[in-house]
Amino acid sequence: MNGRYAFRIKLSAFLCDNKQVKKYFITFAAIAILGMIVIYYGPTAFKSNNVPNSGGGPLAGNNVAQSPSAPSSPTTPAPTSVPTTYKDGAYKGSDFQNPYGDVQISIVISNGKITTVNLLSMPNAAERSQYLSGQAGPMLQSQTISAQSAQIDGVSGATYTSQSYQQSLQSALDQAKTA
Amino acid sequence: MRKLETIMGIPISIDIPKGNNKIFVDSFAIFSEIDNRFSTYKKDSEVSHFNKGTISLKDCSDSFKAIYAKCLQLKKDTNGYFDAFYNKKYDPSGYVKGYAIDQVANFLKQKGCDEFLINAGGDIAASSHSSKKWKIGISDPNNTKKILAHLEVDAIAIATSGTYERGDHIIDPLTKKKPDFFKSVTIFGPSILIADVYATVIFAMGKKGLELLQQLPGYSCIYVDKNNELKQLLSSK
Repeated sequence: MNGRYAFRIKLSAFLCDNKQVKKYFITFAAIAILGMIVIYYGPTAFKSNNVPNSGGGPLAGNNVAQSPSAPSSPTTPAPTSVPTTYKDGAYKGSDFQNPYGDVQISIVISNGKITTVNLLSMPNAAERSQYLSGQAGPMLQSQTISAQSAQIDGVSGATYTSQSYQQSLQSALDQAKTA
Repeated sequence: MRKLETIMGIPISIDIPKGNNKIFVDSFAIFSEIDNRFSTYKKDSEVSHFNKGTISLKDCSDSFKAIYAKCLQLKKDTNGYFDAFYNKKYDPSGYVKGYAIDQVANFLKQKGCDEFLINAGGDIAASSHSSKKWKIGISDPNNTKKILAHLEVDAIAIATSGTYERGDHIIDPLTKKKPDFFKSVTIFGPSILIADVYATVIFAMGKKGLELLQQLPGYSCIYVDKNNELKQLLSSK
């Protein structure tokens, strides 16, 4: 389960009927969360959270509570520790070579419906899952499994030229399978 | 069994586990036939004749007329971001690749073959009605030898748009500039016709384009932006 959903549940459990208490609590929680995000992300916090619909478009409702979630500890909303399954330093602002490290997402679709989303060794800061409908939350499963276990049948990518195709993973797959 | 041919200038691989030779020959023949009719590179294609004015729309084939109408509709639906009439020349290439994949997929289903994977230059239609799941990778725009994600699917259409393979072949038709928000955009859902067109449209539109997904129930998006952040917008349908 994604951390942001867990977070919502926890918050709602604390809410009570007393409006004054509720107001103070929400204010306190908002400041605390903001503080944690700033501490955790530093100056890049708002840039990286500002996706993909900050313009207040139809997707805006899903933009809330995108705290950096920790797939291996789903009940912990506070982004205070990086799970050991992530590669340390895999996400650095200045390293644009491959800053998302060994990010892999595995999505299982049955009968045309997404049934499972597995995040495979995804660096914390790169995890930005947004559903078009908030109802889809429980479908997100966070598991760290070996990305290398995938026996890929085909690769979707930007249109290959014959030249770039020769260098591609798809080419290697085709060679192996047409042989 | 998997076979590979280069048609429309792109490598096309078709994987039919229970396929015989004839079904592969017939499938590739559909790609060639569509290429012969719609290529802007072939002097004798219907599209070339239409652009030279040697044939008028009313005398064109039914499939030509159908695609022409579809291109007009898509231009409207995408506020001009899908534009087959750019530079006053009719060029339906942006639609035809998806159309060709769709035609072959329909042909295979008609023949009773419901287990196949067609990959035309990175755009894929896959089908399976058995326990077999296809594993489809999404290319890493920073390193095409690597994959960012994989989908385990029984049936899916998936298309990716980016400038990393063919260079600067996408421009924003409204601003005339190279779009620079995304490194790659992958759209997946039930139909390759939608996935193919909208991967390109969203890529060209930039961040704003993601709102178009609201109009496409059942379609999801995985993208890498210019800051190399990987994000996903998954349909719940």
